[in-house]
Amino acid sequence: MQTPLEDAPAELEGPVDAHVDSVDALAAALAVDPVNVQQIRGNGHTTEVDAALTDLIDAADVPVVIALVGDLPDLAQDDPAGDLVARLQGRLGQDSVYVVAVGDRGPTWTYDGADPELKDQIFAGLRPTYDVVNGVDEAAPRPSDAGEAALIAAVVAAPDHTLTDAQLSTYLRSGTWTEVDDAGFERPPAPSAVGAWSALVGVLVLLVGWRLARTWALRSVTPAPPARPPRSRAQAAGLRPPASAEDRDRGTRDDQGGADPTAAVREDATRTLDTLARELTEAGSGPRVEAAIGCRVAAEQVLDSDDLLDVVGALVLARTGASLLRTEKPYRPCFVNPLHGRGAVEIEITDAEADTEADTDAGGGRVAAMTVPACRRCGSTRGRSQRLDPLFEPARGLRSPRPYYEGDTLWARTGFGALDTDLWRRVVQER
Amino acid sequence: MNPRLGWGLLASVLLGSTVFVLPLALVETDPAAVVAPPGDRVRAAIEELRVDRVHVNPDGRDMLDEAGEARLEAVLADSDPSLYVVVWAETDQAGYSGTRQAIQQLATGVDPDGVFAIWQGPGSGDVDVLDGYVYTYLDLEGDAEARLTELAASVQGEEVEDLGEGPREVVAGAVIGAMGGLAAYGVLMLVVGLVRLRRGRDFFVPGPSQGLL
Repeated sequence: MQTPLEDAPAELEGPVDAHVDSVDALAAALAVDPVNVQQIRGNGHTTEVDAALTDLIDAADVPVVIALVGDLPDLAQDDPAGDLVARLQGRLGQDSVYVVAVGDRGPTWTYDGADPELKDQIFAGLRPTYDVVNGVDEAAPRPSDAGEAALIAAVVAAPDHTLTDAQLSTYLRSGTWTEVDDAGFERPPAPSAVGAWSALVGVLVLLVGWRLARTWALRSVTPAPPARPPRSRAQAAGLRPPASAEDRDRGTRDDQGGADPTAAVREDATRTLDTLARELTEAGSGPRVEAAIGCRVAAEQVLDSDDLLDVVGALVLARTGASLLRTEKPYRPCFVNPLHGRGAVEIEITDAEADTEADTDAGGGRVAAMTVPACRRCGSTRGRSQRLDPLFEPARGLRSPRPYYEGDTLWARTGFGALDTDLWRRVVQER
Repeated sequence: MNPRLGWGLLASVLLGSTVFVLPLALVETDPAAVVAPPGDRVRAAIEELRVDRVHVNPDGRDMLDEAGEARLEAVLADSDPSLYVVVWAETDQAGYSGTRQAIQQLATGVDPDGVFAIWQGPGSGDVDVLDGYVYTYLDLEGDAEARLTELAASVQGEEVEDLGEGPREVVAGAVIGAMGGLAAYGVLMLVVGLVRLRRGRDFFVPGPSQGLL
């Protein structure tokens, strides 16, 4: 097993300073080596700390004595560090700067030597460290006793008694000189918790992805294709059967070819209106002929609009007028897509499918279901639960294309005459 | 079928399973792996505990002398579960923040299944295991040798309860998490539906296979 022991640095030989258990022993050790760092205060890096402190004080002009030790017996209870320094001064002399940490107190420094300015210079030099050492800067790691002692030694040793940025960052940031994180009660996340959270997010991602995919798939449904140019007069007059799937596919391709669907419908509508005009000259008089004239007027009113729905309305009005001259049967187009032609069957649609205001107009309240005309194809589509092929209102701004009957246009209210056979009057009144 | 449905389904499944599998593969759940590397004081203890089961640091020698250490080693030699004892002075300046972290470092270095006791003098000490729970009783008053011998007797024969988790717990967690994911999606679509209703549209988002999902 790979253990932390095996990749440990070479400082394993143990601390340089033997354990001292009395002031006498400490004083004797300091007389030989002025830096004594006991393992109990070495921050886990005793050898490294001792070597670094020794290097620092070797460069100092004044003698420095550093003692970072544990509990020593027979020291004054209220100020063990002051007591220890006083005793060491008696043994080692007054000229040194003493940096001492004993018992459970952090390091302090004492200088009672000859240089009157040194004390103030050390105070000034340590000022940049106060915030971190005193815990004001909570984000910074806590400096260890060894780190604080190193800061003091560095200030004393520097010719101008100031700390360089490199020293500040070493003694206040590096792992050798700062206290280890208090991670004693930190546990890694339980595997079951990791599994639970990742499963939660995974399922959510999967479902939202699937939901978006289906919306994306719906976006690929192109708006209903415009009617192609009629191949016969009967078709031009709106009597052609609902477009077959093949026709619609061709129509879609035409769209993709770049043809403007509105222009194509307008062409169809213009042709149908021309036919209607010709037939009107041959017709006599009577209410049906008047209604056909009304259809023609209304159709011409909306024919030149830029709105696809308006142009489809013109086509439906032209077909309605032509139908009025030829047959008694009122012309009611396929509600789902009036371009499909005359509604041949009746289907029941629910409120959710056709959110038209005609519902409210009719009954004063919302009608749950209503019966509308539809072409055979749309009628059979519903039975087989396939998707309807509605006439789409083109996208506008942020709004995506939607079936025309979900809008609030005149055309949605009248269903292009599928809901209201007086379509031409509505158009003339409202446009 | 609309090809976008197929690609969308594929992408959703791939993305969802990646989100599920990656954390399980990458997140470190081993308690030994998050233990900070030990400093020199703990490393010295680890060195000796690999040889015998009692380590007395020089600064702890006045609490347990050589003769006492030898007697305690004899008592602990056959302890089951393995009990290890460290005697040293209390400090927070030696590369660990407290006894809990020191025990984690000791157990990681010596014996992840062992029970570790630290004696730091009257009123200060700890008994613990790296991961799990064991019933122990360590009286922190009086003579170290006597108290630690009592501890050895109380630990003898106790079971170290493994609080770690196996595949069963991971599967159970994943099932619970998946149900949470379903519920979260339900709440999300409820909010979406209510917003749609407010805007005068259908509650359900339109799309192939219209419905709850």
